[in-house]
Amino acid sequence: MAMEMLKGLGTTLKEFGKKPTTVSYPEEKRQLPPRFRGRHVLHRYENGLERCVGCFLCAGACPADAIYIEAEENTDEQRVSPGERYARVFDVNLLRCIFCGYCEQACPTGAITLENIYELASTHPEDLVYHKEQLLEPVGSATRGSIVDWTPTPPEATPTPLPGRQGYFDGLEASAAAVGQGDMPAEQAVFLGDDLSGMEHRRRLGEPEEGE
Amino acid sequence: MAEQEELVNLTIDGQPVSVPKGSLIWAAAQKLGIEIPIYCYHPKMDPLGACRMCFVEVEKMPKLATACTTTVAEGMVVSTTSAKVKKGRAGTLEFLLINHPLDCPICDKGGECDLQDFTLRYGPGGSRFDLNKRHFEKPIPVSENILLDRERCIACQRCVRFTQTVAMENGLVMEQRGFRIEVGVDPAAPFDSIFSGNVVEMCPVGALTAKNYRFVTRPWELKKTPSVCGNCSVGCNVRVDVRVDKVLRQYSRTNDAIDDGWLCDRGRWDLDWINDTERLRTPLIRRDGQLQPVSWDEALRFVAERLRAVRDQRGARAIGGIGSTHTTNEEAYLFQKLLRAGLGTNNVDHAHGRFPATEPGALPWAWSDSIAGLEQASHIVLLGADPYHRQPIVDLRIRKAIRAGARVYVVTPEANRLDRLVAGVIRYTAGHTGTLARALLNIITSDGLARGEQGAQRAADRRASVAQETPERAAQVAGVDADALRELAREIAGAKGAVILYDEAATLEPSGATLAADVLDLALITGNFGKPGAGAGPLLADNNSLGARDMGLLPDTLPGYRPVGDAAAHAALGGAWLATLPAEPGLSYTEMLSGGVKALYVMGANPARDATPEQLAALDALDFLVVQDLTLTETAQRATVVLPAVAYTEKDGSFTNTERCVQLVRRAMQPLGGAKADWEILVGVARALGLGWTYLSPAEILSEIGRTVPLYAGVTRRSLGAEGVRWPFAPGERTPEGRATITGSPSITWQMLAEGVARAQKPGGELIAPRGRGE
Ligand code: SF4
Ligand code: SF4
Ligand code: SF4
Ligand code: SF4
Ligand code: FES
Repeated sequence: MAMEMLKGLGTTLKEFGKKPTTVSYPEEKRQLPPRFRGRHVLHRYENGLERCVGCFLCAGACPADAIYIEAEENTDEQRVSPGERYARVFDVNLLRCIFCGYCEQACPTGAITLENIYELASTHPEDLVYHKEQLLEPVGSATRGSIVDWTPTPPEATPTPLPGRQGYFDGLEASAAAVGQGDMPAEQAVFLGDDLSGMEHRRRLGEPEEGE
Repeated sequence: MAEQEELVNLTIDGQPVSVPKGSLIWAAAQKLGIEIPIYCYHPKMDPLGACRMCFVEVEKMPKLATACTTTVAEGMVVSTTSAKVKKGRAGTLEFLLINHPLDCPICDKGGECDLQDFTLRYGPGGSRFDLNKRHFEKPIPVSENILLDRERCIACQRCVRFTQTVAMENGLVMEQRGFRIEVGVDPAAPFDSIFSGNVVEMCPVGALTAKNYRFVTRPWELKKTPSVCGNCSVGCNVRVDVRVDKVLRQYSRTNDAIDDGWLCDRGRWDLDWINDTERLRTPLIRRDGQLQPVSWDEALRFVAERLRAVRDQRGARAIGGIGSTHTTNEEAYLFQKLLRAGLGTNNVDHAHGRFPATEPGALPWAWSDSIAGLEQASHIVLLGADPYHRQPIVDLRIRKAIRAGARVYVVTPEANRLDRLVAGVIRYTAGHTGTLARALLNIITSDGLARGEQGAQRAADRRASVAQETPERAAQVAGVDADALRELAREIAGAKGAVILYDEAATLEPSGATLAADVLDLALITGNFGKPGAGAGPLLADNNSLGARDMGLLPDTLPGYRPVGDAAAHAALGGAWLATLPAEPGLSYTEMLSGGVKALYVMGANPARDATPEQLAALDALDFLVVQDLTLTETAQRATVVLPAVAYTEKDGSFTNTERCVQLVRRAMQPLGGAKADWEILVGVARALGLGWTYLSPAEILSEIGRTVPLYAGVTRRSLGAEGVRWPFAPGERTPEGRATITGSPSITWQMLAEGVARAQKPGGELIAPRGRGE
């Protein structure tokens, strides 16, 4: 009996000087890994335009049916996003969301990312349907969000692998031709620049390789 | 029927298949369920061979062949999967994508785009083109409803060929050539056709998009339900596309016998009335002069109480009902059943009312042939009819008949969209359609133009009745060219097969009292009857104009056109309904609106809109007016009780189109909160009246119709199938599971006409069975 008690005490003494694993929330907050998937943020470009073009791809990818969008057309008087189309309504139902991050992966313009925001509690369920106004980052603070941590090379460093001068949404060129070229680095293998991939391409087309 | 077609045997990807001689490889592959991608080819149009997407490899042919232009040959061996084919297709796609913008995320076609789909399935996966893409100004309008994004066009020319060869309306043209080729608007002919929306549907990419569908959704967000268009009497087969609580568009669901794969712009886009924010969401009762919201229970109890009170104080004849040409057959049937069996009155009618001079018990004045039959006609005569505006897809079929060589005569008071395409145009003073029909009969009977024994007999019967109606007299009163009429009569009499169509509105003209019978006689005497591509009949106005009549929304006939006084029908129906039915005919639409009744029950109609001042006064003088409708119509504003109903996209049921085809309508969306389907409301009222109705679904009501209405003998939701059946029905073979089926009649024959409803009654006796539940 006494033996057991001493053993227990020993464990306590052993841990005594160590740094605790718990944090005293809310005074103190935990440092989260960069890829932590919390609440969504909708991003902007430097010039204030929204990245989201209202394409519904995130809603289509969402396994939980958590995203509801209504799109509308940009006009010259009221330009919200660079292309022809923007999301007038963008709701994420965080009660449905399973924080899988598929929406982030589906987005062609890097408009939606899951961030380190985890303080999501409310006594009113309807408060947890976040609207576009709540999700958008404020004008003047254009960030890329966690997408940078998910993509191996920072997008800026990647030379545009796509043809055309409107490689990026610059917000000045209001052409939907830029849609889908986004800021995400494209998969190298898809775009054939050098000879090697040219041969790869021929092989794929079933053509005899040169010298065969 | 059809002559034995010569079959050709070939192999595609190792699978043997036999198809009729002259078929395309594409069609043969489709029969096997093998996909051959196409862009420029469209099964409803002639091949063009422009896009080079449909490459297949045919043994012993040196180069790849285009499946859309190569006809099959005996012993042909085709491969759709060989390396050569793959390379060819990938090459075509790579070229197409050179100038195609990366618009998919914002393109309305994205998700249902052939360029996306085929690129995924057959494409190269990458491009070797690293120069600037071609750019154009983003969408330019080509018409009021349609936008063109030239960057996205792959120059398949489907749209241009549709407007030129199918719609024959022009509007779009191809401009320039080579890589500069683009679609443009014909400066001489604006693209304002009522068929224009079809190009949006058939454009394989998102180059042509609809203004009112622009950016409203994406295809994967839509709930797509096969149904029938509810906008006119053609009854085109559609797919209703709904997002959450809004109908966004109707897409075609090809039914070759009715719409041939096309829709008109009205059917495609005129759906705002369903999404109307003004729609009623709660029953209203007038209190202190104001319509005030109440609960359903209260409203139904109130309606029953007041109807009972009027009946007790003034008798059943003081109650009347005006039904609708828009509601389903089931609802029309229940409506007259409520009035006849529940309240004991024959005062039931609808806005058009009966065709004058219907012989009791005869087959009613319905189009004796079918829409598809028009293609086989050698002559088509439009008497006071304007299908382009009123039954657009019938007009489109007439254009197809014109291409097949039919001689069309447009006999209308006003300019008609078909004028420039037809063999003859005859103009006359509005209101004299009937005069013209009698003048034609006069010419035919007096010039001995009758054909066949039966025709001659009929001509002899009619000669005296039209003796005074000479073409010269018609020229005098109707300002028509007498010689032109003579020529027309001769054409009809000499035709291999003539279809004579009039608008149902013409029967309401002062001269039109006998129009229906006269036109039928015209066809009978000239031997243009009883075979596909020959016949006569009305073009009706609304989606269920015929169904409303079939179901007995008429003061003098029970469902299936049996006279209200017919003792046998009475006994049978009364037995099935467990009620004693009134035997004397009731009041007509106009009689009810001129003070004939004290209480009026209006379902889905708006008599106040077209009412005369006296009729309005009579409506206001009613003791009790109950209206079932979607919005607060002119009539509903005068009502004592308003009951909110739902649109055809929100309920199940069936419609009967202008050529007698009974088709199923399916619920495509949740009914508007607070509103109920008309049948549900009727059941509610009946229950409040203590009638003990137990219908749980339209299917149950339809089965009862199939048992109690000889004209609809054997109809059930199952027996109607996906594409509907045309009455008169005959019992068909049993399915392997032992389920009863019915077969339809493409054309009404002399014999059916002579036997009238009796023919339909034949399998009848046993069909009129006591009320039971389910099928
Ligand atoms: S994280 Fe996953 S579940 Fe949540 S909205 Fe995005 S796709 Fe839907
Ligand atoms: S996928 Fe991206 S661009 Fe498209 S709607 Fe979602 S957030 Fe907007
Ligand atoms: S607009 Fe569409 S249908 Fe017309 S040619 Fe271009 S791709 Fe074909
Ligand atoms: S022709 Fe009539 S039924 Fe056909 S789509 Fe147009 S409105 Fe609808
Ligand atoms: S589909 Fe055959 S060439 Fe276009």
